[in-house]
Amino acid sequence: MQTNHPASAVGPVVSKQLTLDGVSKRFKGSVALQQVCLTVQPGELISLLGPSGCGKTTTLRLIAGFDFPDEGTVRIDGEDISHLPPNKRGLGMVFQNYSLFPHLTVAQNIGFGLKMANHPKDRISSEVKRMLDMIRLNEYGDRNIAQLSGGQQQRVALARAIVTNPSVLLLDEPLGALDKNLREGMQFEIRRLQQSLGITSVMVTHDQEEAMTMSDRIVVMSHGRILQIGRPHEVYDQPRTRFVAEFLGTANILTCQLEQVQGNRLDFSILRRDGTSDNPPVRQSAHRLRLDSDIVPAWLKQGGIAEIAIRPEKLRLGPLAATDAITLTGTVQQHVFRGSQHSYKIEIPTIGATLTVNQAADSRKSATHQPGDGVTVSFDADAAVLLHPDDVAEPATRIGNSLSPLTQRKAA
Amino acid sequence: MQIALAHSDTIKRRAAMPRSRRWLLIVPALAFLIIFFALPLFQNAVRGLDQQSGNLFSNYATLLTDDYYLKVVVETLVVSFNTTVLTLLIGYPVAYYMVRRAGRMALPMLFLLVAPLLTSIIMRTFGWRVLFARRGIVNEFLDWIGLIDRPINLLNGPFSVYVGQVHILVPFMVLSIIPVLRAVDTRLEESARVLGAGALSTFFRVTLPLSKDGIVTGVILVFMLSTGSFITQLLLGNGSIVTLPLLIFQQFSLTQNIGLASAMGNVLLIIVLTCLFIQLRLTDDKRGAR
Repeated sequence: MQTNHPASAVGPVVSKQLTLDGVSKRFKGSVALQQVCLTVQPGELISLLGPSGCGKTTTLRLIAGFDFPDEGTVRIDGEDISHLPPNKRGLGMVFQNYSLFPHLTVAQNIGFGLKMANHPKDRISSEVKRMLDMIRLNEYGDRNIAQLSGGQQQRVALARAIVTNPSVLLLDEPLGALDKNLREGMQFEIRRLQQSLGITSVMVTHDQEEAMTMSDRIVVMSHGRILQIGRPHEVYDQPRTRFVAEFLGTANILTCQLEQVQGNRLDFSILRRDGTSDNPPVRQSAHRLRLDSDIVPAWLKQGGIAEIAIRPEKLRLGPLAATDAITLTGTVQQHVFRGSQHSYKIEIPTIGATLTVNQAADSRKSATHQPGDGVTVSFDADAAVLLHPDDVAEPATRIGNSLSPLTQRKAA
Repeated sequence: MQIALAHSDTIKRRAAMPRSRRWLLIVPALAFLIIFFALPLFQNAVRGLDQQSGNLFSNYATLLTDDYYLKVVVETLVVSFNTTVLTLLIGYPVAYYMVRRAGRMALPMLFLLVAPLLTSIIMRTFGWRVLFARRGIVNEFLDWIGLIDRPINLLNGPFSVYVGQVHILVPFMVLSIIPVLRAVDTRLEESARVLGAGALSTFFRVTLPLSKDGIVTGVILVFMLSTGSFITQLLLGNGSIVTLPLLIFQQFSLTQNIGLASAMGNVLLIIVLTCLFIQLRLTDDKRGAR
């Protein structure tokens, strides 16, 4: 237990490693977390990203000790803390609504954790003062919480969480209650503080921009499982599944059929969607797509159907010089100006799909296209990402029926 | 421009209801309050004064100097205080359980809590007489489990008075605490836990202070109701505990000393008003802090 409570609140921070090992949690029969494995390296900030109900909050609550796992263990530096109560874990936490104690002053709020750890009074007041300096609220120590603005409360909540020198800092939608401008400023401020202190941190968010801005690595979750773990650009540029591709930013999804495999080259033909998008795309279009792949995925058979994602900003209006570039022709349906970019919806009749294309807005270079204009859309083959058909990170558990979603889709 | 607009607005409103006649609107409410509250209070204040003897305040002098009456005033306060403390000790855990642990059972529990209020106090109090009788259920049970050899006298003493009082007043305490406790964000308790506070420490440092408003309201309400109750003392105490309301009742119906009874009523009123004042001060403080 001593190891969880560093005696000194000052001095160098010893970064610790947090490990979730096969953690599962059920609530009244419904599964909230399934076999989640995750290692947060010392000093790293990891974001748990996903829609509501994906298990990210449950994961945070299990780490905090508000709930206990049904299976698996939670470890800090190898020490099993799965069944310790929250007050014995030596963590820091920032809540979405800050959860500052309304009956205590700013200084009392910050000093609460030190008081609980039975630090002497003068020590507490000097630490609180140091924290108030750090969050630039020196004059606010005796104020009531209600007298602070949202951003100030946020900083007090952060100071309260880190003054005890926690082994792991938990951030539960820490900026959710702030307005946009303030939020962006705080993103950088929290990140800077976290990096300078070297606190191992886990953040829960549903805001993908926030996750990208602040994290060393992003964990995308859905239905109680981890879909993908990776650095922000990895997760964005190489999404593993359709869910990840669509949750992080926008993605154009093309359905393709594997024609043939030549060494590490996969030749696909793009399938054409008929009628409504609910119908399975069965008819072949004339378009071919050649992808390089280190290994041919085990789930992909000759003649099998796969989905491919292309980011809107990687599509170009107009032809490309490269030989393996794919060129489609279509009609502009919609045009939106977003300040930094133009966003077009372009209907491509040959594949029966509407693609989103983002072009950097620079009025000196490109003219805008109006709805009804006929345009050419092209992309390099290496801009396309082959998506795993299954939304589950560990294919081992589902190897027997890993193709079932596809066969179902075909049958329908 | 704006001033002119505002001005024409007032003129329009004046046309609808001339200021000179606007006070007519409050007449019904005012009349009701005067006839049913202010006049009786005034009448009671006058009745409490002694017009026959030279000293107008002789009734109050008797009350505050005579050992017997002074003892009754003190006893009233003591009984009410004890009742309030007991009610709080029983009511807070009940309220806490209903808000935090009961889940789907909270509503049925609330019904069980409120249902007794639908029956008359006299009925409920007589219920205790039946239970506590010489050969009532309680005595029979204690006899059956071998705790006593012969029936003990549970009635007509402080014990039965307190049981009756607490029984009647606990719902008021619980109902005062529940909404305040419900408004306490559990995440505040969770943050206290993460910051190293144990379950007990969290309760005393976070939950209890934050439910202070409900406790104050409940305590004052129960205290006031307790100082004004005499049915329990009358039916369960049988004269063993004499409080002001009981004495007033006796003065009115038996001794017919209306003057003294009125004076006692006014003393009781002042006690209750003091309580209300304290409550307002305490809860206002709280609101300012938020």
